[in-house]
Amino acid sequence: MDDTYHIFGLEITSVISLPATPVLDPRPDTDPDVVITYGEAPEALKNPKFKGVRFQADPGEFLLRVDGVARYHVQEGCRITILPEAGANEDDILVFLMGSAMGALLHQRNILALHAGAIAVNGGSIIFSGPSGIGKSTLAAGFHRRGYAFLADDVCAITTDNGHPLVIPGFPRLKLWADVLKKINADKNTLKSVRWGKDLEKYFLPADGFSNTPVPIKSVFILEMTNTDKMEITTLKGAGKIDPLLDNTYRRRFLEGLGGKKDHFRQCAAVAAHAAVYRTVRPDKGFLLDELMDMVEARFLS
Amino acid sequence: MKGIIWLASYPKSGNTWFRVFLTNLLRDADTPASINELESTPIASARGVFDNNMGFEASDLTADEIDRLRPELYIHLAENATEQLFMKIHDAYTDVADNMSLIPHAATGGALYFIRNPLDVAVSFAHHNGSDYDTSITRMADKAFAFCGKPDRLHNQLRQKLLSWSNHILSWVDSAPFPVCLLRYEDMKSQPLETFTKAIRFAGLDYTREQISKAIDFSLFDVVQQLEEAEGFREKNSASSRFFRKGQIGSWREELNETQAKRIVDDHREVMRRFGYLDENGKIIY
Repeated sequence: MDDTYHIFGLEITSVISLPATPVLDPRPDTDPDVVITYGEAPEALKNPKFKGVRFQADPGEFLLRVDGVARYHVQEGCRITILPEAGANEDDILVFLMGSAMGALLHQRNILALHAGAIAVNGGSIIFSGPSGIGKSTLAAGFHRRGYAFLADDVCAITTDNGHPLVIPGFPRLKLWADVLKKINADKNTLKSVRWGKDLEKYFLPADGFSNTPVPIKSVFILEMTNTDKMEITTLKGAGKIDPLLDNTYRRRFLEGLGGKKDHFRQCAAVAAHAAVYRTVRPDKGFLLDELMDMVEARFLS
Repeated sequence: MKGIIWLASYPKSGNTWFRVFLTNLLRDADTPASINELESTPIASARGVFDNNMGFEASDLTADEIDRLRPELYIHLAENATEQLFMKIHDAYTDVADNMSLIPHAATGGALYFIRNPLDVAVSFAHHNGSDYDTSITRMADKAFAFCGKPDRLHNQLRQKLLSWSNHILSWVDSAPFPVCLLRYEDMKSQPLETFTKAIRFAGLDYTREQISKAIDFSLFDVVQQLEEAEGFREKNSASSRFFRKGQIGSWREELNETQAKRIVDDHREVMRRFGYLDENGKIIY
C-alpha cells in the first residue's frame, strides 16, 4: 500500500517512498490533499499557455519531461502522475519529483515557494535565498550543524495565517555537494547520493529533530556573490524588499503558464511587510563559511 | 526566426572587447556604456539561462546530461527571441551525441570567431586565472581541457570543453556547418574600423560608419580600463587583479622566456602558420 506523508503542510499519498517519515494515522474519510501515482502522462499539453524547453504550463496543468527518467503530469494542485522511462531508477525519479514537480504543485495550490533554504531560530524562521550555487543549502546545513532546527532546502514553501507569513517545513533532508560536506565535516561515504550511479558527487544529508510545525518568518537573507573581497549585509527597505523575493521564486517561469501572478505578488509583498530582508554579499573566491555564518547569525539574533 | 550569432573564442582573445563594442553600438548613446551592462551578449554556459528555460536545474544533472540538453536550449532561445540574439561562447564546437552538435545549425545565424596570437593568449590567460605561464601553456596544449568540469562541486557555469587552443580554432573554423567570420585580435587593434565593420555586416546589422567609429572609441582599451578602475567588472575572475590588463600586441616578448615561447610554437605550429602568426621561416610575426 502507498504510504502517506505530511510535507509542505499537505497530506500526500505516494506510490514512491518519499524521504520523510510516513504518517501512521492518515485522515480517515477524506481524500489526501495530494496523490502521487504511476500512470499515463501526455507527451505534450494541448495549447499550453507557456512552454519552456522541457516543461509546459497551463492553468491547473503542468508537464515536465526528463530524458531517461520520467514524464511528470501535475494537475490542479492535487495529483502528480509519473510515467517512468524504461529502465529509469526510482532515485532519479524522486529528484525531479521533489523539485520541479512539487514546485509546480505548490504554485497550483497558490502556496508561495521560494528558491531557498530555511532554519528556525527562537520560534522564527530564517530564510536563505538566491540562485543555484550561491550557498543556500550550505548555510542551512552549517546552521543546522550549529544546532538550529532545519526547515527546508531548495524549495521553501510559505503560507499565511491571518496575513502573517510562515515557512511550512519541506522534506527533512538537504542536498549537498561533496566539497560542502567536507567543509561541514560530514562523511559522504555514509550518505545516499542524489543521482543513482551518475558522475555527480551530490548527496542527501538527513536533518535531525525535524518538526512539521509552520514557523513565522523573521528574516530573509538574499545571497549574492562578488569577485571582490567584500563581505557585507545591508538591510533592504520598502518596495526594494519585494523584487528579490519575486526574482527568487522557485521555478518562477512556471507561473507564466500556470497563472496566479497577482496572488504571487501579494504573497511576496506579505513576506516583505512582515520580515526583515537583507542583501548578503560574499566573495566568490573560496567560501568563508564560518565568517559568513557569524555575520548572518549576528543579524538574525539581533 | 533569426538564428543566434555566436561570439566564439578561446578565452582572452578579444571576445569581451567585442562585446563592449557591440553593447555600445546597439545602445548608440553619447557616453560609453557601463562594462557591467553586457547583458545583450550572455554567455552560453550560464547556469541561469539553462535553469530558467529548462524546467529543472542543471545542478541535478551530470555534465554529459547537461550537454545533451544544451542544443535544445539554444533552439528554444532562438525560436523565442524577439530581436537578434548574440551569445558569447568559449566551448569548442563539439558533438554531444551522434549527429548532434552542441551548437545546433538550426539555432544559428552564424559565428564571429575571435583569434589572437597564442603567445599573448598564454600570458593573458595566466593573469586571468592567477596561474603561472607554464600552467597556461600546458592548458592550451591539453586536448581535453575544460572549464567547470569537476563533478564534486557546483560550478558557477556549466562545463565547457575548450580542447586545446589549436583544436578550439579548428573545431569552429573547419567543422561548423554555418558561416563563420574570422576576426584576428591583431586586426581589431591595427585596423579597427575595417575589422569591426566586417563583423557588423556579417551579423546583418545596419549601422553607419560614424556609429561604428563611435562604438570603437567607446570600447578603446584605455576607456574600458578606466571604467574597470572606477566601477569594477563583474566578469573578472576573482583570482586576477584586473580584467582589462594590458591589451597589447606582442607583450609576450617581455613576459615569456625562450623555452616557454618555443613550447607554444611547437604545440600550435600548424594553426599559427595558417592564421598568420608564423611566417614561412617559422618566425613569430607579432
